[in-house]
Amino acid sequence: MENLVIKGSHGTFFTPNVTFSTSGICEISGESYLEESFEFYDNLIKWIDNFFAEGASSIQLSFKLTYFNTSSSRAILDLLTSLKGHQEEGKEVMVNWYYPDPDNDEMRMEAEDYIDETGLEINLISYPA
Amino acid sequence: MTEHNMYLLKYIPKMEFNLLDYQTKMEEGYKILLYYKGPFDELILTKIGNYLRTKFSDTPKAGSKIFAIFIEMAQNISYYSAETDLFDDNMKRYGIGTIVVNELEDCYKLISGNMVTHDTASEIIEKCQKINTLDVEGLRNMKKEARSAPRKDNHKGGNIGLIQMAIKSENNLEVEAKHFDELHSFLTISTIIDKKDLS
Repeated sequence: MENLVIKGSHGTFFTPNVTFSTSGICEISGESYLEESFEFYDNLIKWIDNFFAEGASSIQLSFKLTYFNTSSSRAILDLLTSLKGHQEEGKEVMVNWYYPDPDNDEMRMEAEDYIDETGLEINLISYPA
Repeated sequence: MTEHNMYLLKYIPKMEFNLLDYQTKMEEGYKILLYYKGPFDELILTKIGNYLRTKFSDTPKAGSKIFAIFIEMAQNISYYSAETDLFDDNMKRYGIGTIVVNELEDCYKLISGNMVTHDTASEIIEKCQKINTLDVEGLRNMKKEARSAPRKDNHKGGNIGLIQMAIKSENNLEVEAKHFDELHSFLTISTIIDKKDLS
């Protein structure tokens, strides 16, 4: 099992930075506006599935996104739902959601909606923008 | 170019291209920040998006809202416009449409227009009417409901673009369909962002 690292880019599309480490410390940051949102996030879901399948017991995923479009938002929901599934199977899942202050993109609200939808506990952490 | 396209090109009567048809009404009281008509391919979408962000770098809250609404409008046109680029190689077709951003004294106004089938027009009008009855909590609930629905094949988006536009603008979505021909309507969706909400 290898770390998954995707370097964010800001070209025609905005690809977020992804660093998923086999240590269980994982992060998604930057902006997410992709050609194939589902494909991109399905890839992350698969990595996490394998990570747990190979015996890991805990993961900490931090979101530090500053913008995502609605099709990414749908794919991120799938990622969080999948994490909830792992938690229900007894894995330790911790999700941190960083939002800027002032919060022009209403990132905190987005996280609150995800908490509602998935039943997952998400730590909301503000940082000065 | 495919044979089919060649055929079309050969047999379309050569029309005079009258730019005056594309001229906006000259009215007092607003400033045009953007007027684009054409295919919404990825490059145009990103270039215009970045232009809007740069333009509003001094007022980031306005910039964030205008950018987010622009992206959703542009993606709707790109994926769902009934008019697509004839000259593309058929591997990928991009919807054609118009997006206008105007600045008025007390607000910014974003307008999108594109061709859709009559059925799509009715669907979108119905959805906008429902959206317009909801407050922000109602919109968030509608968004959550739509987002939790199973993925649709051939549906690239989250099916929540219109709801997101209303959440971001904090205003109603004005929607109008004008009969174009037997199959199509020209659909216009617009919304405003009040400057007083941006401080």
